[in-house]
Amino acid sequence: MNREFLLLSTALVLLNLIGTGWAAENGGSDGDRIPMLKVGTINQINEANPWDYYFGVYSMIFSHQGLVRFNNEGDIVPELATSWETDDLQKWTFHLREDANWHDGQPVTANDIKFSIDYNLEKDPLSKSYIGSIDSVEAPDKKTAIINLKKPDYNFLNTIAVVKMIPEHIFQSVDEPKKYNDKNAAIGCGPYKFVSFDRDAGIVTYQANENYWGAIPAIDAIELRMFKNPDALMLAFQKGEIDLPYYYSKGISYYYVPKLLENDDIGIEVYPERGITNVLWFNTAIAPFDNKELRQAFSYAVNYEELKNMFTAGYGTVPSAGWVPNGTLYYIETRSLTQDINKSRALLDSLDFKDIDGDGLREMPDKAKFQPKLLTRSDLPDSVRAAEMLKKYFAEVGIDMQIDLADKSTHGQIMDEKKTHEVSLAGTTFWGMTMGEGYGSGYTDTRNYGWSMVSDPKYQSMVDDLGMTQDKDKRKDLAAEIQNYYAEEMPQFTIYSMNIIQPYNALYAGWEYNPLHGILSYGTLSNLHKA
Amino acid sequence: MEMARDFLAHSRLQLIGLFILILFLAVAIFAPLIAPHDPEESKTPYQPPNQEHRLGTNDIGQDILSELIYASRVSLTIGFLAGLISVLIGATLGMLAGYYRGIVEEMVMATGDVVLLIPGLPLMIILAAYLSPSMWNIVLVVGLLWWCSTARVVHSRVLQLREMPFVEAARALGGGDLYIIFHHILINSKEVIYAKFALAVASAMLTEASLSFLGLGDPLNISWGEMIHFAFSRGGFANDMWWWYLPPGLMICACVLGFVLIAMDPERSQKAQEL
Amino acid sequence: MLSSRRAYFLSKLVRYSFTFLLILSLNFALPRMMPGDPIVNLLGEEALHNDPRMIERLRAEHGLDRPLHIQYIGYLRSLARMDLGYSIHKNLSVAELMENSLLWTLLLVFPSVVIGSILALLFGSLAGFKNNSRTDFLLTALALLFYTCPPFLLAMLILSIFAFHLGLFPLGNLTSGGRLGLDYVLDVAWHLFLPVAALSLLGASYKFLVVRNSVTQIFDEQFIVAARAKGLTERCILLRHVIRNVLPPFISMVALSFGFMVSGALVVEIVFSLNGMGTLIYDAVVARDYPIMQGSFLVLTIFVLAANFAADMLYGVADPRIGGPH
Repeated sequence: MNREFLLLSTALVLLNLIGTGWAAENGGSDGDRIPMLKVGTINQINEANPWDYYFGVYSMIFSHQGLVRFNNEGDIVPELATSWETDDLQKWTFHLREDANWHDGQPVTANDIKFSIDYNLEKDPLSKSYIGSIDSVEAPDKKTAIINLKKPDYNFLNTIAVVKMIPEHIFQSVDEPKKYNDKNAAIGCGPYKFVSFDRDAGIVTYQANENYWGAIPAIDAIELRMFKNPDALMLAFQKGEIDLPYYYSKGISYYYVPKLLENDDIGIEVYPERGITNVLWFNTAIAPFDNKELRQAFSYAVNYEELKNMFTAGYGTVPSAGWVPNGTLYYIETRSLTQDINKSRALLDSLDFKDIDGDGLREMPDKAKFQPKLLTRSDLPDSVRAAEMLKKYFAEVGIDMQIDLADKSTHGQIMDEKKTHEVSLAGTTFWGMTMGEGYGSGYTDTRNYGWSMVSDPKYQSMVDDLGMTQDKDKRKDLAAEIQNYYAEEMPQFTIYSMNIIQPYNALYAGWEYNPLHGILSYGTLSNLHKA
Repeated sequence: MEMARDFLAHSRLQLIGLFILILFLAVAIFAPLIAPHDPEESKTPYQPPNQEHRLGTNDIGQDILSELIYASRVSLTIGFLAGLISVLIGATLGMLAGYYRGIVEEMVMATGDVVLLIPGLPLMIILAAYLSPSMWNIVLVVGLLWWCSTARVVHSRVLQLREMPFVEAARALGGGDLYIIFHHILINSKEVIYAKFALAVASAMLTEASLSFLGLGDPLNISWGEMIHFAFSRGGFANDMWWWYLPPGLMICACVLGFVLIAMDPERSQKAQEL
Repeated sequence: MLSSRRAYFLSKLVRYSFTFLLILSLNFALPRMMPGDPIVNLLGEEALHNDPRMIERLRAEHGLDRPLHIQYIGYLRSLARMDLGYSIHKNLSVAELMENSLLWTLLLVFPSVVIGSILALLFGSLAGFKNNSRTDFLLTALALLFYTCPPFLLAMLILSIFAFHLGLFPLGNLTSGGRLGLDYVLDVAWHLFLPVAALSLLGASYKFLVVRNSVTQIFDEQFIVAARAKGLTERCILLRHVIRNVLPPFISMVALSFGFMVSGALVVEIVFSLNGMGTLIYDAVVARDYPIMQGSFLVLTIFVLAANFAADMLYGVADPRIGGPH
């Protein structure tokens, strides 16, 4: 076990060495350097404070780093840690790189790592939902950090990858980090330094970090411009006011594409989506949604082909019953989801969901009206429209679906905490799919977020096995097993998924895509040059 | 009969307004006969205007013309109901205040002053945020906030009337308060109330459109405002699909114009001051 | 003479104090009346994601377990300290959050009110003066169009035509950033041009109709006829009599329109991506950040109230009938 991990980490060190060479290779002549990249977004930053949700997101992209990072393939590669090892998946030892410094010149040490994790757990109650599995952190010397978990977790690197490290010497005297809006609060150790936040102009500015441990990035300065609505953003992009429209973990809507194609200065790239755009979730903990045949009956009622055309144009994929998106490690082919009205009706009939009062809509076996509620976010027009379409499909097989609209936070609260939903619409993200033990278990398993509230022992033992198994063949088997479980039990199923459409300024070349951070990947930051 | 005579006595502008409204009402009532398609039915989305779909299709392939026709039902219903609620409350309170005077009057008018001063949209946004997005909540919220200008006008009208000889005569003859209010004061204030009702409906429709635009409308009951909301949020604006967002906008304009014209009376221009 | 004017001011003061108190009470009652957990209604959905201990502390702080009148006194006390509550979602006190936003909204509303009023007064008088002429018909039709057009549609069309298709103005935001001094002022003016234009048109349309009608009406009245008979030129009539008689009710109408203008400003800010009270409320609604919603609403209402009070005071000075001998 140990040997395999050492081997793995050696390979990763090599990989990393290749990685650090990037700017040296691609820097090219100075004439190709980009003095300023203007990024437009509708994500709203309220304060230049790492605990502000979106400022945190952009910090992770530009100015802050974690122990490890996702590369463009979605695999874990070294970042502040050059290597790591674990014997039991419970005690993780990370060896830090020697040359990493904070933006103010202080070296990054193991104490900073320990401090960051402890501080997060102490000051931010929300952090428990993803690093609550950490029992303790030790810093035996300046460049070694040991993280002890409460139980073995194979997937721990995926979790720790999104924990950004902060400087102890800045924050040790800060009692309320959420109110600490000093410029020092934004000090990280990444390739870019935070410069300013102009609230009135809606602009955040970053500058290349000349002391970065990697190499000086290819873009001198980055301006992040915030827009209140996507149309204004796209109009500004078409006018050339910004170089890149960027949504965190999303692409643009396909209906902007025709206009963009008319513009020669704009390039468009399509990347596979590693999350799922829209999923129908059942609360399998409550009747009658605890019945898998009923869930299957729902799945046969949906016209996936029409949804794909309507919501993704040519940029979507036909979903498969195994739920996990193609591109995931150990993805297997499962049955494609197709509409089969007769099968759906037959299943409902066999379950004794029949139309008794002759209104064309089915009643439950106990003769009560069957009016399942579909929880839908009211602030996402795509979801509202999708819910309208679903209502039509279900009506065709005699199910009287009621659309229950809730705003973003109410929707989240119901799904994450109250669990009072019956059926719900929501998408997943790349990182979300790796939560828990991966394969969407974070969304499915009751012990985690559990949107579909699965507490089936059969499922949970698969998840537990994934957490403890290092052997690749066994992991492959488990991954197949879990996908077959989804295909058969259908605690949730994809209604449509769309690839990421990413337009960009075609006068620049060298754009690279990363499943977590999209087009603002380290590849882009280090390779971008004038075309 | 009486109503018809009333209307004929009115100006040309009011007749135009009336004509517009009858047209809209007819469209709303006979929607299934007029609409070329089932507004729920989905075809190819984002079609520009063509033979089959005179105003093209929307983001989920529904015929925009048919949607426009059916949406008139929702928009008019919201406008009418909200207007009705506000006028009922306003007229009742206005009459009570004007007739009984004293503490009742003070209370009603002071409350009315407050509500009149409150910036309407922010309060409605807040109320709409607390309540769930539904057509009925919008009706209720708009209705409950628009009564005060009606109350003011009715109140001052009642003040004029209560000193009139025929009211005093009725009182001398032993007419009860309710009798007097209904048979004399209400009948004689009806023009003011009609005008206020028309303006309240107009305001309700505009407010509903703004709330829908902000995403606080009821997406399950498509009104004109809701159509514009989807056109803006699903690419209609970015792609210059004017056939999608302009027609509902013009419908709102025309309909509101109809109501405003009805309320306009060149003889009594002080009414306009309380638009 | 003095006493009657004093009586006028005094009665207004009493009226406004009462209104002020009612508004404070309304703001107190709203979160407690609405369905749902009052602690959530008061603090926002985010409150539930926080530490249970913190929630208990906040519950105690707001005294939600105590009788209503005690809560009410506590509420007034914190308001007196300019404490409008705390946004857990944005990690800032509501007062702090509003500082900037309020300033920008005022910068949007005030010029719009002034420009809109001047436009309305000028064109309204013109239309009323030339009653039933072609000019009158055209101006009235235009005003009716703006009046009946949903504000957001007007704003969106202006944005689309002048900023995007003609490229004359920026697509949003308050400044381009990184400018100082006169350069900054000009930049802000350039950014605010379209929003102010949109809001001015909205405000002007309705005031125009009123001014036009008043002027028309005054023309038919006796004293103008008398003035004409005295041989005064038309321009003289307009200046001396009409404007003087239209002005006092006009002032009170302008004041009453502040509420309407603030509502319009919300929509305009959202369309033009301006960081004012409108976007603040809008973001708060999306995030169910109730403290911001209530705080913003209260401040906006107080602002409208103050504007009306100021107008009423002005009215008292401007109207020759008030304060004159009985």
